[in-house]
Amino acid sequence: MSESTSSPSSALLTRLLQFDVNPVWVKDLRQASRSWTVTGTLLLMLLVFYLISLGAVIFGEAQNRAANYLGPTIFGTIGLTSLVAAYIFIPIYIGVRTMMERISINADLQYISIMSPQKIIGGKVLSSVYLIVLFYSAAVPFLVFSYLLRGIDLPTILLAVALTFTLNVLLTMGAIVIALAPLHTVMKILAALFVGGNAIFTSIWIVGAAVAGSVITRGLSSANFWEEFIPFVATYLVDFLILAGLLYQVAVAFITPSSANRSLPLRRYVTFMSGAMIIQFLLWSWFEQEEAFVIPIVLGIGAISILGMFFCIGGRDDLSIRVKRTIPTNPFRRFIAFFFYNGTLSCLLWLLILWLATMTCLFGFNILWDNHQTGTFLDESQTLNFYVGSSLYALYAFAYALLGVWLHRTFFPKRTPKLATLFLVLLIILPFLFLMIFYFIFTQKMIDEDWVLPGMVINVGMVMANSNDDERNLHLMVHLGSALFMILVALALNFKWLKTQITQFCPYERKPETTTPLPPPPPSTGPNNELPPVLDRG
Amino acid sequence: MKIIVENLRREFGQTVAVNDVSFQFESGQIFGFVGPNGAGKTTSMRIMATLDEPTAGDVRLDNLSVVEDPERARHLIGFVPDELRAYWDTTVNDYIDFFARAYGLRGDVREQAVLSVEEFTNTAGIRDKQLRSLSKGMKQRVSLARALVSDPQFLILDEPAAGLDPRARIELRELLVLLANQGKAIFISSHILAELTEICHGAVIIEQGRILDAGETGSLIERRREKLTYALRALSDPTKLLRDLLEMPHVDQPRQAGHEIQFDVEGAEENAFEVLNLIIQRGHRVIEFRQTKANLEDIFMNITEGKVQ
Repeated sequence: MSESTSSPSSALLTRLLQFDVNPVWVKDLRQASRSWTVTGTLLLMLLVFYLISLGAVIFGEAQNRAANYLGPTIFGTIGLTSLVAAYIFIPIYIGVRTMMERISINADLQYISIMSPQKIIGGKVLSSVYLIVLFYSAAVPFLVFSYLLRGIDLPTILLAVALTFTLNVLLTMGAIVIALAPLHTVMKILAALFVGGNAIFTSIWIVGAAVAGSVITRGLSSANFWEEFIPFVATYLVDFLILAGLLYQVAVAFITPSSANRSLPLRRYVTFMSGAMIIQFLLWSWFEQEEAFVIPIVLGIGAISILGMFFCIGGRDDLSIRVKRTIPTNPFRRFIAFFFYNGTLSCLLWLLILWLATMTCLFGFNILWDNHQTGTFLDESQTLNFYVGSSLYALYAFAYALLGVWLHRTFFPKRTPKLATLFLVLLIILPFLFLMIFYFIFTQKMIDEDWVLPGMVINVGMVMANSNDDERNLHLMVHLGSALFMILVALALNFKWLKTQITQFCPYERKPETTTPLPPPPPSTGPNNELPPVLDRG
Repeated sequence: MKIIVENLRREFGQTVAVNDVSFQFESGQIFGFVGPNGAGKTTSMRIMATLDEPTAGDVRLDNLSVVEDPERARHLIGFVPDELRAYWDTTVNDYIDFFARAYGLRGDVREQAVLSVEEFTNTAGIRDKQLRSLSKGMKQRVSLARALVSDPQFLILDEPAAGLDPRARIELRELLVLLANQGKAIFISSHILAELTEICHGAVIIEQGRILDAGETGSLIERRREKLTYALRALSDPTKLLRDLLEMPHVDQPRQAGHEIQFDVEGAEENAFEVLNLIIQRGHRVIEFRQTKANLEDIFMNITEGKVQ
């Protein structure tokens, strides 16, 4: 074959053979394969599975020869063992390794190689998934074996495994996020114990409810298989992907240097995710004719908006040259970009807009519902409670955040910006606490639940729970007025800071070259001007 | 390639770790970075290696700014930190191979690159050893191999000789000279100043974040040296020789240093000739008389005050 004809195909073959496997994936798998922790846990798990299967067959046969339906027993026992092993061991293993790599920036120089943060996190997720697959490949034969012993069907087994697997992936990605979070090691361990621990038990509970509660079996045999079960599974898959995407984006943001525009992908994704969440639950609500489906929207996006404000004020205010270089010159595009680029003010505004947009969507849906569905979306007496009550949390959080920023930037500008978050927390808690204590000292009574305490967000819940409609609505309006007033005051106090935040958001203009001092004389390379062997690849 | 550090400044809260640091050097040169602990050396080097962002100023590799475009700059930079943290369950070869992959090397090219740096840094014999089982010197070699695997044009080494035995230091020094001869720009900080003097083309002396002096090593030493120091060996009573030296003009601080007598001579070299003449005239049988070479350590001791921030 001539060279001209062989070149393209051989080049393609070479490219395929030299497929650029994610380096982090390769490294992590190499480490895992050499780790006695992984091998030992896997072998121990297999031994337990073997003993369970053997024991169940021997003793189950002897005890219940007539019924002989050992499938569910074996499936349940092996499933629970693999759940405990995979749900606890894999996230801890991956989390600890990732955390060790980030203890010192010098510790792991992969973070200053030419790999992008996306590639690093992608590699970590891939290797985690591979490890989960490895554990499941050990468990699945035993789980399928339970089918042969009757009492459980294959689709149930496979769906249960798929559900367990997806939750395991989310838990492991959560472990990566906690490991990479810019927190002290002690805080990471506490977060892993409280958040991670709860997530693990919730996941085990979900799988348990789905399998032992026969949700999967009933869904598969349901008459509304296509109308209910398939949409439910599809929704679960979409939500799994959305949540996995969020964890991935957060992890990427954590390892992206603060000088890079790390907010852009994360804010873009959260905006997309919020949109997907709204559409999904509104569709469910519409077709199931169930208003309660909007609650996850309010809780989910509300939590994102409020928690986001807590964290974003602890970041840096200034824009690095790297970020400035990418600011669009077109005024309209620059205006849109402002809400998605790094910056404390831009983040606060973006979160507030996200919340207001959600409320607008819900209000539009409310109108559609009232015009096209049989019942009303909300009880008339609850309308103000739903829209204003829930929005008060976001408005107060915005006001407190601005005040926290003002306290930090005015009195402690050289201290860490995380102080602003601390001020925000103190502003929420301290006034209410002092009022409660002083009131108790002077009257020996607790604060009345019917009271309205303007400016105190803790009181909003009490007001919302008031059963007297007129009084509740009045108190809500008082709170709305006080929240808006606080925002105005906070904006006035932060006037200089706001101005700086807005004016600094302009494209970077490189300064003309400056004259530098004269260079030192050229070096004498010495008589041994020899190149080292092989290294000279140029 | 020319490395230009321009008005570099780094603040940590109220502390100014690096204050208006500017200097430049170019490919083929080894440039030393000298200063007491806490002088701002590591901070400056981390900025140069794109690990940190300066509060102000820039580092340019020709026209490429490490502040504006760190991703592109990383293609050109190899960084050897003062300590190689060991990965768990990773061999030397896996470690270097990982970084070769991380820098986008593929297939045969990658294998060849890994092999060549292992040979160059003399780590081929330990390629299957676990990283955590290596000695400090071996870890430094592996660290250097890791930095070299992407064939960077600019190499930054932060205290690479710390904790190394004399042989390892000499070998490291030889490797650096080879790399400089190959055309790489090398920026090195070290406490072993005498060794830096031998291999460095230039040096930057820094204290409390500020540059005290910078330039080509020879001129730096000449510029900063106030007195010439001479060493003398004679077949006569050293006590009498010391006493005689004390009486001679231009002579300052005569002292015994091992088998020889050392003393400083103020003024020009003609004064040294005059002193030697006087020594011989007084009947001392001189068998060796030479000017001692000042090194960076002397300059460092002369101009720094040991202040930290």
